[in-house]
Amino acid sequence: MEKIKFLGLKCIRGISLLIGLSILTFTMMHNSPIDPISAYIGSETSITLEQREALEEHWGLNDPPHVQYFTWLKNFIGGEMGNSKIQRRPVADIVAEKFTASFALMGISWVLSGSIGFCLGILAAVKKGKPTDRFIKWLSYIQASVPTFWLGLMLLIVFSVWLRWFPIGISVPIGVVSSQVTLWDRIHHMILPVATLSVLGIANVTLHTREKMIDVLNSEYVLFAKTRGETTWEILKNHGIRNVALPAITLHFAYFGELFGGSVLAEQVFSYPGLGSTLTEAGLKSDLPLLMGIVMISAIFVFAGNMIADILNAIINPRLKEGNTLD
Amino acid sequence: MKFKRCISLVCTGLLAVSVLAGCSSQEQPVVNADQTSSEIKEELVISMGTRPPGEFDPRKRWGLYSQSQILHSTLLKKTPQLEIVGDFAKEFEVSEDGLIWTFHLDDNFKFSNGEDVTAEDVKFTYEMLKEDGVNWDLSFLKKVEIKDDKTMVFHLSEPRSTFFAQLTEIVILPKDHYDDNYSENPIGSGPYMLVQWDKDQQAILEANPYFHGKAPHFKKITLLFLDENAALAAAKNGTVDLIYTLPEFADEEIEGFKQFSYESNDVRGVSMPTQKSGYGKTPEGYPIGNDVTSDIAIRKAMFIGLDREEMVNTVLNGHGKKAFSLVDKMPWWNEETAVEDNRVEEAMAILEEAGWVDTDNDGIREKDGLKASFKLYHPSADVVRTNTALVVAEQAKKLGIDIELVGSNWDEMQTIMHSSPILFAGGRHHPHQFHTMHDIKGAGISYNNIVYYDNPVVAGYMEKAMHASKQEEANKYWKLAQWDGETGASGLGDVPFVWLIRLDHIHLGDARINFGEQPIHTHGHEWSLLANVGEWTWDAEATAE
Repeated sequence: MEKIKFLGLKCIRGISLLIGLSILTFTMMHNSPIDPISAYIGSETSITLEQREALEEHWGLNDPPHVQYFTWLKNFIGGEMGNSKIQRRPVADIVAEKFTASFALMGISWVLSGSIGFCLGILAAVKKGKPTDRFIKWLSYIQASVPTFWLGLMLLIVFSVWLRWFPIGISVPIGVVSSQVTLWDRIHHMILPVATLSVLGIANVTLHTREKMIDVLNSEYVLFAKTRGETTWEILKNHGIRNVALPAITLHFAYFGELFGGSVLAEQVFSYPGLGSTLTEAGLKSDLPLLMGIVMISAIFVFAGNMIADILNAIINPRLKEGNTLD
Repeated sequence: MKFKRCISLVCTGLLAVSVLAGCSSQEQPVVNADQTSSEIKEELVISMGTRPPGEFDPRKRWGLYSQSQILHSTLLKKTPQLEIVGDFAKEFEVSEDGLIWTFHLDDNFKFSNGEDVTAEDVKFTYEMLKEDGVNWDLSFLKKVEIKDDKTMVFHLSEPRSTFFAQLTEIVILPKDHYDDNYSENPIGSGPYMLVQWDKDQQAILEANPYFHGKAPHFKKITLLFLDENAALAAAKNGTVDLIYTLPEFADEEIEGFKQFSYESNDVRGVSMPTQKSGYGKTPEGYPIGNDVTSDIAIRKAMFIGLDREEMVNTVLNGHGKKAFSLVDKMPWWNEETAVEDNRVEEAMAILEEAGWVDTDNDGIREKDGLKASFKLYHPSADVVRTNTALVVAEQAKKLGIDIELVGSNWDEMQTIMHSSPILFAGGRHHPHQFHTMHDIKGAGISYNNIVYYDNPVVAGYMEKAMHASKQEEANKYWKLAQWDGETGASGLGDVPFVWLIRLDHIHLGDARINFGEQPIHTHGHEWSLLANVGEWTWDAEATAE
């Protein structure tokens, strides 16, 4: 019962968040000075009044704003996201296509930054105060302060332009039809963007894990374990990792939002076809259906990340479980 | 200890993977890496902008910027000298009144799927685009009639000489294979066919086996959609054979590469609102008119007093030409409008005569208490326009005209461009743009006639030009509309725009590519060069020097 209530509340919160966000996005776009038709036409002069009216009619720009919004909302609830104005094809297709690319990129980076960060954090805690610890800390501070796009550019210059180990961008080999593209080709094109994006998230997890692990290692039960003659590895395995993993995972799920922002930048640098470039264009050209579609999907994505973190906490953390039954 | 070993194992593993990645990527056949000089290359990798303009579908504007002859054929086409000749319509005639256009069709055109191109396909294409009505104004097209297999007749509701331009731009679509997903599979009858399009990444073109003309030399062309910086990096890393580039990157040295520069009518200039303030509001409610630029003396002084040569040298690093009109070098250009510029003394005399005198010695002229001062808006993201604006302001100071520069964006500029000068651009392979930019009908709608230029004599000439049934006759009237000896929409006449410079379109590419005979390029740099891609060849002996 408690669990259902917990989930129900979460879902209601999520839905209200989405509605609020959609209203906000719609209002901002509606009041933005960008005229979608002029943005679509570009700096061209060859459009007649008839052509312009045909476009306004076609895009439904003549309806009052609340009608436009509710039409959109009704369609969206019915699973229909409408057609992109710029690309003239269904928003659902575009989002599905771009999200797959972005998702692979973000997923791998997320796992990598999580595991690397976790390992580094533990190592730093074990070697607290020693050169290894200082080095890891120094590395984390640098990672945390380096902008994603700058790191991406550096990797690009060194590994693509100078060493020529990796391609300059895009996600598939040049001039090869998709039936002949191998898995290795795809991985090869993904390495630099993934590396860029992973580095972004490592510092967070590392520093957090280090702090937690130091707490654990200073605790009395670890002292007791040491007196029993357990080795460092045994202590970590039996007491440390379990206690530290949970907050790290929670933190890492909550980092979905930042990951999403980072991927936008990384995709720009590596000409990688993901949601990032599409989102920028939709905003700049006032392509309302496309922008709303991407914003909604990203919000659901970030919300899902946070919700998973909460659920994991509730399920795994024994203290929360006890609290639930005691009430 | 175990823990340490674990970590070091992971590290070694990571290292191994990265080394492996390095090795195998070197084994990968990099498409153009260092060929020997005698090799005949039949595949090219090109980067031209971040997306195909119009996504291969005329309903999305494919064809507006000289892309009509890549994947498709058209009824008529343009020679490099911009003469109109037959394509799918091998012969054509226009009736005396300009209302009936008859086309005699060729019979050996085939689509890339092997099917014949027929009159039905042509009829479908024009009717569909007219119906759509968004990117192609075909409202004057009354009826498309198929007389027999080989003859088509287009009935117009009013004469329209600029229809010629559209006939060279509108690509023939396959009636049976056209739908909303045409961009994904754009079957056409041109020298190339699209094999694959990875959106925002690349498009792979291969020679169309059913092409009616001479088979192109390059069997495969891969177009990458990279931005300018990524494209330059790709050229340096040896991934691409050809990129288009901006004047600021034009002098980059890349091994084996050569700079290919083409003249254009891609002009930049200053729009000068011709009406006084208080003239009214545009259909969208933006104010019209400017009290300073509405004085013709100010406009004339700017036109003859500015030093275009200096602009070409400083703004474009010499990669450009002086511009005097929107239609420089076109068959409908009135050459008289190219006058000697940098005539500072004469410009000052014009201003003095009109009553613009510097009475308070602040370097700025006044007339009836009004300072010769105005704001000039420019999109600050556009380097060429921003730098041009800077030079204009500097040079105008010498004439006693004060220009305040405002770095802006198109969204803001659209609201003030009817009352303030902006750094404007244009240039087409047809006179239609000249018409919309100087015709009072339609003024204020999108970028049509933003200066509210209104001269009935010019409008009369343009009307006659539009109604002409022959190109020569139309060109005669377009020239008169620019300058008839007394008035006109040019620097000699009313100066609604002070045109300044034309950009050269610059590409960096493998020195051995031969681009054939290129027509003068138009506004819209990306893909201009590809207009005749079917005629490109490989010259194994050519070197970068």
